[in-house]
Order: sequence, then C-alpha cells, then structure tokens
Amino acid sequence: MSEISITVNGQPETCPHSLSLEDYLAGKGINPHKVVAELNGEILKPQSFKERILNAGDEVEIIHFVGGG
Amino acid sequence: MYTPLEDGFAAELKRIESLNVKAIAENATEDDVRAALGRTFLREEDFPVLLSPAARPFLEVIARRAQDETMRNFGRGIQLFTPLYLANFCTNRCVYCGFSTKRDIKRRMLNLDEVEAEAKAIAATGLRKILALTGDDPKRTGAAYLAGCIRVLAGYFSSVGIEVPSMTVEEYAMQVAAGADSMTMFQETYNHARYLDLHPGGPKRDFYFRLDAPERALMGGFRAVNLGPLLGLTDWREDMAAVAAHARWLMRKYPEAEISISLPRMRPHTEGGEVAFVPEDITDAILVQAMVALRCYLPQAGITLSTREPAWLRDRLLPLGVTRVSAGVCTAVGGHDPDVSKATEESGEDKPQFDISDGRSVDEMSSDLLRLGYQPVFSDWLLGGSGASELTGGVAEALRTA
Amino acid sequence: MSYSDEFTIGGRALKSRLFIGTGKYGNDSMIPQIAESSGSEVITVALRRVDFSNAKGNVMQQIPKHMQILPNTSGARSADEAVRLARLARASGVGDWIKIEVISDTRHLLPDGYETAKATEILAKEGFVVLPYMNPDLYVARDLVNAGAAAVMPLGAPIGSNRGLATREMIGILLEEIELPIIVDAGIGKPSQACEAMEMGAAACLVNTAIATAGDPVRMGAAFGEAVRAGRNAYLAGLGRVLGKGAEASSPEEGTLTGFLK
Repeated sequence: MSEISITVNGQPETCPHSLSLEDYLAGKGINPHKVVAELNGEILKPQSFKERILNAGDEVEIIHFVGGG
Repeated sequence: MYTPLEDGFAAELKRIESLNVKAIAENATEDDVRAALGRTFLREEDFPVLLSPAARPFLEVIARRAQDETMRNFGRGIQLFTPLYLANFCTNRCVYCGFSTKRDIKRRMLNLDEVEAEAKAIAATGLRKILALTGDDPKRTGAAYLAGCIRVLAGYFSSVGIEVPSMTVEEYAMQVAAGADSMTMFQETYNHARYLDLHPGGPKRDFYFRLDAPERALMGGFRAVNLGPLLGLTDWREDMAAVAAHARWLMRKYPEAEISISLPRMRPHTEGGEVAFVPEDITDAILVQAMVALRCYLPQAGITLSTREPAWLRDRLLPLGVTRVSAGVCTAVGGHDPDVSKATEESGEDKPQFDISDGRSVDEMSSDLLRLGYQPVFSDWLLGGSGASELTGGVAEALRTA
Repeated sequence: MSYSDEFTIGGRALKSRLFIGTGKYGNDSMIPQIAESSGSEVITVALRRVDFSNAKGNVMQQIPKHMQILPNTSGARSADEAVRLARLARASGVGDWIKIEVISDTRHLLPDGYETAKATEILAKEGFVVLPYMNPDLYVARDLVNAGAAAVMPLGAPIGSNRGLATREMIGILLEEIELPIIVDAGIGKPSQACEAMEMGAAACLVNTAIATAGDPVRMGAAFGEAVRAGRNAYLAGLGRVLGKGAEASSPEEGTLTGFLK
C-alpha cells in the first residue's frame, strides 16, 4: 500500500506513496537543479519538481547534459 | 500611379546606389583588381572594380577568365533566335527610339494570318526560338492582341519570348497560358532621374512599373527573364552594376528561373538624315570590359548579343561570354514572308526600330558559328510550345527537311 | 595589431569564430583550459538520460560562465524527437540556442535534411535560435533559411572523420548563395582545414573531435583559435594573386582575345 510502481528512464521501479519528484531525486543523490524532467511527456522545469507528486504508473524521464559536439 | 512591389527590387536598387559604384570604380587600384581576380566567386564590390579604369590593363586577363567561365558553364553551344516585330504603334516618347510617337513613321500591326505567314517563313529557316515584339499602344496591341499572336507562334516554335511593354501579373499569366515562356525587359537605365528625362511621356514613364516587370513576369509563370541596360544613356558602370544586381537579386529570389542579360549599346538612329540622339560613346573596349566583367561576376547568367553589333565584332565577342545571338533579323514590322513584306512596303512602313549591323541569315550565322567552333542551338527546351512536332502535312515536312 | 571583427547570432555578439564541443574528452576537467586556450565563446553539449548507477560529475560544472551554451539534439532520429530534446534543453534554463541534429542513419551518421527542416521550422516559431547541422546541399539550405534558421552548419566531412573539407565545393556554393552565417561543422581535423573554411568566407567553425582527441588538447585548442582568426583575416584582407593563375596586367597582342581592340 505504501509503495507504488513507476517507470524511470525506461526502467520499472517502486517508490513510496506521496513522494514529490524533488524528494525522489534527492533519494537518488541527484541535484534537482542539474537535470530536467519529463513526467508522462510533459516537460517540467526544476522549480516545479517540489510540487509534483508521483503517482502509480507515472513515466518519468530524467535528463541531464553530457559532453557532445 | 503604380505602387512598387513591397519586397521588390526597388529597395535593393537603393542599396546598390548607396554603395556608390562610380566612386569604387574611380578609386580602384591594380591591387584591388588582382584581389578580385584571386577569388573563386567574385563579391559584389569586385564587380565595379572589374569595370574600373584600373582594370583596363587587365582586360586580356579578365577576358581569359570570362572565356573559361563561359566554356565551363555553357560549353560550345550558342542559342539562335530571331525577333518578330508584330506592331509598331507606340504612345511613348522615348527620346532615343525609332518607334517614338513623335517620329513621323507609318504605323502598322500584323493580323493573325500575317503572324502565321511570318511564323511559317521563320520556322522554315530552322529557328525554333522566337522573340515577339510590339510598341507600346495598349489599346491597339495590348495583352489580348499579344496573347492571340503568341497562340499562333506557339504552334511553330518551341520557345516564344516577348519583348513588349510592362504588364500586370494577370496579363503576364495570360501570355504564359497562350504559350510564351520567356520575357525580355530592358530597363534602359536604372538611374531614375535620367530615366524620367529620357521618357517624357507615355505609359513607359512609370519607372517602378518597369523595374518590377521582370518579377511580375516570374510571378505570372514565365520561366526565363532577360534584362538589359541600354548602354550609353547614362554612366555605363552604374547601369552595369544595377543590371547585374537586378539579375543577382532575381536569381536569389527565383532560383528556378533562367536569368540572362543583354548588352545593347545605343546606336545612332537617323531622322531625315540627321542623328537624332547622340548617346555617350560606348566604345568597343567598354563593351568588352562590361561583358567580360559581367561573365566573371555572374558565371551562370546568359548573355544575349543583338544584331546592333556588326558581324566581325559579334564573332570576336562570342568567346567572351555570349550565349545567345539573333540571326535572320528584320527590325521592321513583318518582313520574313514575301507577301507580308509587300504589305508592309505598301503601307509605307519602312522605318525599322534601329539599324542592324549584322545582316547574316540563319544559314550564314549557323555556318559561321560552326566555322568558329560553336554549335548553333535551335531549341534547348523539352517543354514549352508545341513546336513543329504537332504540325502536319507540308509544313511539318518542310520543317523536318529544313 | 589585432582587428576587431565581431559577428552576431541570435542577438549575441561574438568575438571568437571558433565553436568548441564537450564530447570525447578523456577528462572533462580539461574543458575550462580549452575554453581559455581556444578563446571560444560558444560550446556545445548533448542531452542524455541520467544514469543513476554511474552518476559522474556534471559537464556543465566545467563550462565557464561567460560561454554561450549550444545544446544539440544528438540522438534524435526524427523532427519530433529533436523538438522534444530542444524543449527539454530550454527547460533547463541554458537559453534558447539549439543545434538541430537529426540522424537516422546510424552507419554514416549523415543528417536528415527533411526532418531537420521540419524541426527547424517548429522551433524557430517557438523562439529558439536554431542552428541546424546539415549536408551542404543548396536546396536544404534554402529550406532551412525559409524555416527560420539563425545560421546553417554544413558538414565538412562525415562526423568525427577528421577528413577536412571534403565538401569544399558544396560549401562554396552555400557561401555564394545563402545570406545566413555558414558555420562549418564536423569533419575538420586540422587547424589548416578550419583556416581554409574561414578563408573561403565561413562565419565560424565548430571543432570538437580534433581538439578532444589531440595529443595535447589544450594546445590544440589554441592552434584552432589562431587558425580560425588567421583564416578570417585572410578572407577580410582578400586573397592576393594566386601563382599560376596569371592575374597580371598585360598589353593585348596578336592572337589574344582582346587584341582586336588594338
């Protein structure tokens, strides 16, 4: 009951109920200001991570910059 | 009063004027000429440099480059065409012109039967490219008359060009529908003030209506446009810079269109034995410099040379950039079919628009071209007018054996 | 003596005409030194999913604050994917520049002109400063101009090949016909090749692999910075006489083209 299933970067995983995206990232050791995210196809700015609560079945993409030409 | 096209050539012409081509040419040095010739693609500012007095000692060098560019882009083919003067009624008063309304000449226009007779006579010489001309008299020889003539001509020629007064987009579209594919429009001079001096009356006096005409023709569906300054009316370098800019600008905006340039120079025309208009003297050397500079600046532009120039000079100019010449020319109305010529004679219309200097027939021109190492090209388009292929019977037979 | 020669893209005035990348470095901590040695003011980055099992340091930390970030859409195989990546990049707050890169052929890595033009049109309308990576094809370039690109980035040779200006003639045609800045991207392997592109009239060059994989990338960054400046100066100066072309004044003689003028 306290765990929900979500998909992050294409991988299924579980996380606690009522968790914000910001808290989810903190749990992974990710600085939320260094990434951008897509929640079910909607692009989220880092400022809104705090208010977005993850729900069962959510598809999350966490993207960051890497080296490229 | 005509309102110029919003994004037409007028603004670009203003920009070219602000460059002060005359000053660039006057101040150009030999090093500037060397720098220009060192570039693979000439820049806009290189063109006045090649037209400059400083470039004169380099004329042979520039001519060699022009020859190379011509060979690379056009090979050894020279297109042949002939003008057909349909009518000489004119309401303009161009001070330099043999058709001007003020001149005391008999006026005449061909009817459709005469157009067909002329078409047959010209087609029998082997020509497949024709240029139809009229004076400027919208009431008598306007868009509807012209379209009727074109419909006849399109049955005999694979390419029908027009050199007629400026028209609206709709009127141009009408000519395309009738079978025309190319239009020639000489701005005469791009210097607005001088233009007004030289065109004191008539519809042609509207500078911008004429300036936009090539673009309107393209908007109306024409596939080829031939521009021209009438060299000698004003500073030749300024007019050369303007016409090159006009061609360049059209090439950029209408990359699918074929853009070419004629380099006619003013020849004195006679009136009662007197020279009626004395233009600035455009010497042979100036004509050569203008042509080779143009070829270097716009390697892909066609260059047309008319029979205003004598045969010996036309032969000399061929390697320098010419891609199209006229042959079998008569600058009076009609004049190819014996009956039409006789009717013209009887009407008293005996004054041509200007005196031609190269009277070679199509056959003579063809054999001279071959002798000089060029291939005379009669038709270079797959599409366009139906040409001889749809003709039947005796005419078709005559054409095939011509 | 140095010559001032700024140029502007997307409203930003730039002094350096060398764009650099951040890919293929053995160690990202080299990037600040290369930014300095090359003098570059524009730097590219790519977007990828975060790998939670291997969250290394962030490349962004290495990029000097004064530099313009140019995110690319590498990895996109269609216009839609490129648009999505561009929007993600902008959401991160790095600005609205985007280098469109749509590659659906994984063997030759050549850009897809049709999809690139579609993405360019959509993003330009959304206010992005769009710099599309492209094959130096005149028709594609015209489509990109009409689609609202801020510059076009033709490839000099296949990406990462270090083969130089294999497309020299085609780029020459773009330089002749296209009014937008032409930024030569991909394939440049040596400073002399970047220099040649600039001599021809390119507005800038983007160099990544050739610097990142050099024996001494910091020094190679400096070499490219100087080469691009040298080429630009040569272009502005106007190339002088080319030996063998015979651009010398001569008086017409018999048998020449203009001898008839006497």
